Amino acid sequence: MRVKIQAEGYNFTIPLPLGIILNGFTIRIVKSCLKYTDINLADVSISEEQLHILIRELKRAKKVFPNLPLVDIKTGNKQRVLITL
Amino acid sequence: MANSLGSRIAEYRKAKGITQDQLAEHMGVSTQAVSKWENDLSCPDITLLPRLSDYFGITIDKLLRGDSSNAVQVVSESERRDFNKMLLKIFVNSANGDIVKVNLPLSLVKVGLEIGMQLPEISGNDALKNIDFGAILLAAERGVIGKLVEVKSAAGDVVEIVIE
Repeated sequence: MRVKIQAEGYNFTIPLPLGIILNGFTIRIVKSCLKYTDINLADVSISEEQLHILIRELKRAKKVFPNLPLVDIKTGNKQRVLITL
Repeated sequence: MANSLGSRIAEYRKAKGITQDQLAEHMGVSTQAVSKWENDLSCPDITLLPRLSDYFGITIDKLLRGDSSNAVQVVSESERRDFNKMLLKIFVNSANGDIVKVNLPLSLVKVGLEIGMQLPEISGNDALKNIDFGAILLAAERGVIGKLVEVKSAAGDVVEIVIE
């Protein structure tokens, strides 16, 4: 996955490799970090298991649609945000 | 909708309320070139198509093929594409010049809905807030493809939802 931002003459590309960023290990890290925030786990609507399902589906979709532009936002003042799978 | 590229360009230009001169200036070509496009004497260079379609707020596919490619149709079970290879496309062209295009694999939408995710309200556009994605998914599973929704608000916003 890649996030590309074009704004006021600046171009940023943020690579987000799904395999590295989204896996069981990172989910556990996020879960443990939540203990130290004000966020109540009961308020988080997605469970760890559901997140695993979503990640699996994201990775499968990436194989079927490589580099698919998931979201492409162009503003009237020439700013752009492009998220590709 | 017109059935040649030239007549579609003329139609979209008139709908936008601009002259051939204005379109030519925006595209960086001569007025004669635009006139030739519209009379089907020549075609726009392929590198101009993205800019041309963006200017009209439509997809390149729609510019090249017209509305027929997006006509709603029900495909029989034997002719249906693999559900996992289908896309839900959302296109928002707001009056203030913002353009939002969303392409979501239907399989991903299905998983998202199954686990109870609330799909984001794209661009905060009111026209999208009450869309029943479950119903759209059900229609897709039953073989409905094409442009399911086309909303033009009084404020000038255009929202289109297409299953491909």
